[in-house]
Amino acid sequence: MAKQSGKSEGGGPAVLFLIFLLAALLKGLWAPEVAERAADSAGGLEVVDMTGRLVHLDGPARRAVLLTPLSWHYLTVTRSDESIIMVPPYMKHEFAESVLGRIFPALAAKPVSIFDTKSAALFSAEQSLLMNPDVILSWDYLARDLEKIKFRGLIKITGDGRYKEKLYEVLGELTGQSERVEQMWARYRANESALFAKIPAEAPEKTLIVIGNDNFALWRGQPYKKYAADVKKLRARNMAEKISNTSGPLNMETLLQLDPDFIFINPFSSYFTAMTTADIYAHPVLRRLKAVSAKRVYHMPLGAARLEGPYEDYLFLLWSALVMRPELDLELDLRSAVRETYLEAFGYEMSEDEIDAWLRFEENKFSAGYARLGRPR
Amino acid sequence: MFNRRDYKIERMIMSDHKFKQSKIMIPVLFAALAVLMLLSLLIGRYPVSAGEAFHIVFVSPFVEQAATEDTRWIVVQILRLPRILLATMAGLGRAMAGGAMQGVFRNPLVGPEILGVSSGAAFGGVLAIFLGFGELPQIAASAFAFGCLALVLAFILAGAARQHGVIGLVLAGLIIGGFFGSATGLLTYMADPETKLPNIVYWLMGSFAAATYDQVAFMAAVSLVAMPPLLGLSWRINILSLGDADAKALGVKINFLRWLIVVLVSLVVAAQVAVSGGVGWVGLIMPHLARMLVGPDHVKLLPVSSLLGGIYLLLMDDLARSLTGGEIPIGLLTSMIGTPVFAFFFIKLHGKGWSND
Repeated sequence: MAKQSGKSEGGGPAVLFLIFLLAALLKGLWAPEVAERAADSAGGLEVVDMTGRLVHLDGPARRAVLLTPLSWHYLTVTRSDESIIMVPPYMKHEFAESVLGRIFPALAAKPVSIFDTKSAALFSAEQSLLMNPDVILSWDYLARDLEKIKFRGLIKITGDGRYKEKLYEVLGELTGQSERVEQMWARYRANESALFAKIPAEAPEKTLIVIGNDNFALWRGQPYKKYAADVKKLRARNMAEKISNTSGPLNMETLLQLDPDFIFINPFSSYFTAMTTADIYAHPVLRRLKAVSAKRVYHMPLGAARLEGPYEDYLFLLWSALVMRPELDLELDLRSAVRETYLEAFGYEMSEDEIDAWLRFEENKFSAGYARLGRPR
Repeated sequence: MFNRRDYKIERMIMSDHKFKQSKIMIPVLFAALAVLMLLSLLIGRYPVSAGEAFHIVFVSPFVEQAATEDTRWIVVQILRLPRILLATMAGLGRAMAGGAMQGVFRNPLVGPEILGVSSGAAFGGVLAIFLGFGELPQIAASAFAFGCLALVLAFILAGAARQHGVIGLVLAGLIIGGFFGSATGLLTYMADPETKLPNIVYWLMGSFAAATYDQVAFMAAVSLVAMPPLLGLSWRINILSLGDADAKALGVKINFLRWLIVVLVSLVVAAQVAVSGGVGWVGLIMPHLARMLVGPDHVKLLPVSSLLGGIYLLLMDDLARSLTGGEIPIGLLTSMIGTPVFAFFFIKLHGKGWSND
């Protein structure tokens, strides 16, 4: 009896565990691999994504899944939402609040990934196979399971220093619109140069900070880095450069010590930042800041593309110049610029109401000098 | 000196109905795990029939011209099978590690995290992402290295304090775990919110979505090094759980044995964190369930706990990948289900103490 018991106690389970682990090891060492599928020789397309990978496609994207906040860039390049088959859920809020949803009303009906998250969509590889897209644009770190199955149309997006230019280059190649993309950037550079030329080198420097979220975190993400570099050419300085942390709430004492000339609230939808200029004007501590006492707090416009990309980047700079440089007579009409830009970018004619909404005029009209941006009388 | 034969004789004298029950428990759980693994091949968003799935797993590897371009083959062989194997091994290892640690520390409320190895491994993974080494093998290598480093530091700290007993180990582990935990928080705080932070957050929440066969081989290799020896030492853990004085009286080198078990446990935990990020509560709860089923004898407890862990984690991963069109981080599921279960045990054990005390 003792012998039988001893056998069943220790040896049995250990042997079974050993067999299972050995089998797993062997399976792991002699793993099956997905065969590479060659692109069709006729009409094939080669795209270098933002990580430098060469992606072979049969042709321009026809069924695209956009897992990052890229839909506005994609739409800016294509001027059509036909090829988009899925967007991340938080994009719905952007469509609903910004003019993008009115320019492309069909976007509201596009399916969203089911798992709702504010920062990105966690999209399963099986779901992607089920939807049969030919292109998936995904953040680098969310694309691991797609890489594993060697998904041919995977375009990885990273947030490198040349985020927007490189992104548009990729989107241009992907949709067969490279020429249009080049024209967009040429227009942008010409407009930008003309604007910067109007700012005299001896103009006094202005200081600003951008509140990034409802916890007063400073907006220092990738899109803002370009903006921070651009506003220097308007003789303005982002005081957040002194702060070492890139996320998390800001110490109120730091804010008091920085005491900027201007406070901006980021241009995201209320889904991300519900804070308004009225909240800052009513804040018991912030009332001591010179930007607040001089009514120089502004909610950045709610553009179709969060004020990113070759069209809205310029409008953003123009808005910043007009808000921060009221002492200079820049002779630039922002409302006309917005109307012309959207007409050129999307073939969409903005109404006066839509331009007011773009400017967040109702919210900003109590801030210094904003009445100048109102409707012409 | 008390040896394995003496232990067996004593065990037979002390046998009760749980001992008899435990005889069938292990084969039953092995069978349940095997069935669940097979069923898991059929779970997922993409429709694959049972016949197709089993053909792909059991027949196609032996056929020269396997349809490796076929979507169903990709779903089963590349997406499902590696994560089934990885989740199962991680669950097996984590729960066995938890059972061993509860025995060594004579405390049912400790998990394999107690020595700071999980925190060290989590820091290693986050550090790799923070420094721009965001590829999976780089993250795994760094996580495993820092998990091992945490153990070495805990060992050095306990040695410096001349505290080789249970309390010394726990304190050293708490200090090291606390340090790495705060260092992880600091890196998370400093990470670029656009390019690094989301990657860090998702990795810390844990997932088997990116499971590869390389990871399967790595986890299997580490498990082969650590788990069979742990099973072999299970009867000695019984002696350790009697308390230091009794164990010494029975001729056991308690410090050496304790550290040997801790090293084996740490290897398993570091490997698990390295391949799947943070997956908590499995190592804490499964030993309790196992104890309810087969009693406190670690010879039965460790394999039963381990098998329950494999079943639990595989089940959680099945849910994580099939409930929605996206991936639910598995660490969230194991915690959401694990915490109420642990609360139940906490209330139930209150006032009763550790059964070997």
